[in-house]
Amino acid sequence: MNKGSSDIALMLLVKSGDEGAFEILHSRYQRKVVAFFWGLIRDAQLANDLCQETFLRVWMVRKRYQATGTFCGYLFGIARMIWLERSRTIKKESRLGTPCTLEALEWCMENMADKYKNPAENQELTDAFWNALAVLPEEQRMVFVMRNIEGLSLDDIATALDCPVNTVRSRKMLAVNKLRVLLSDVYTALIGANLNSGGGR
Amino acid sequence: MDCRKIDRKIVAWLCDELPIHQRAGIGTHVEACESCARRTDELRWVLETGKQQLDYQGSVYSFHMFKARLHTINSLEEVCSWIPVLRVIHPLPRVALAALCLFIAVSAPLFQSRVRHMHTRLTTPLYQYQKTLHEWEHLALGPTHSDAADNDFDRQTPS
Repeated sequence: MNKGSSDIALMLLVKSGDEGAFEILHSRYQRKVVAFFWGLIRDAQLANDLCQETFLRVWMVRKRYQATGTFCGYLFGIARMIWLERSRTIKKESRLGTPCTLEALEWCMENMADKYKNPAENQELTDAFWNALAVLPEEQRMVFVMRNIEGLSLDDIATALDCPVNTVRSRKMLAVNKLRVLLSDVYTALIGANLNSGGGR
Repeated sequence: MDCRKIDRKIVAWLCDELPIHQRAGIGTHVEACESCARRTDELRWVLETGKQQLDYQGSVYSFHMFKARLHTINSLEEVCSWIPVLRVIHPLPRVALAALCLFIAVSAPLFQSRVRHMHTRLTTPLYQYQKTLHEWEHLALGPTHSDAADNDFDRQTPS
């Protein structure tokens, strides 16, 4: 086993209980899985918690793994299941205040200084975008978020969502069109102003 | 190709997800049609904004945090691995085992109080003194001393 091994080869090693192989897979995909959850909930700590839960689930069901399809699709399928299981609880907890584990608290203390905010400069645009994203139906939102994760193909998304590729395409199209409608005011304000001032096509 | 057909394919076209033979027709139409060009610009902007907003650059948990949880789960798995073994055992011995456990659970406090009582009796100085006296009396008076004395002696001892 080395760092250049394929995901499936590594996962087959994980299946036989190899923690080293699992660490490599973890380092490869951790950020992507966090990005997925972050796109759905926009909370860095919670996204990390859910990511950890996803990898724990992968470890726990490792013996049942079968090398069909890509590992990426398999992993995001589990991430999606975790999200569907937890989303209701998360909404409830967000109203009541989330219980915090010691590890998560330590992590918060360490990362308090660089508490993550998106580098997008325009706060109005950021707020408008996240509000519009929250309005989208769950499946469309998932497709839109997954499509923005680097290295995730349509096939991977289809595997993860357990649906045909064409369904992924149409969900994505619907999501983008809805976002266009919801963000049209912001677009006009931002881009229209530039056009009027002579920067347009 | 009319605008309605273009509208359905424009997102896929912007994301390079269309087959090559369909791409050219859309490109040509978008360049010629003003409304489709405007729509394309808007959709491109939405896609770019999405990419920018959803690009996570924050911190992530270290692997050692994950490993700590993993070890807890591994040890739990070890314990849980006994469950199938227990399931294999025939129901009758299982019931007997459960009955024995129940018996021990019920009788343990009774047994404990009995032991404590005996311990107190045997270790009390008065009891020891009276016992020695009783033995001396027995030696001095001989076997004529009745068993009633023994009973009296037992009755007087503290509990």
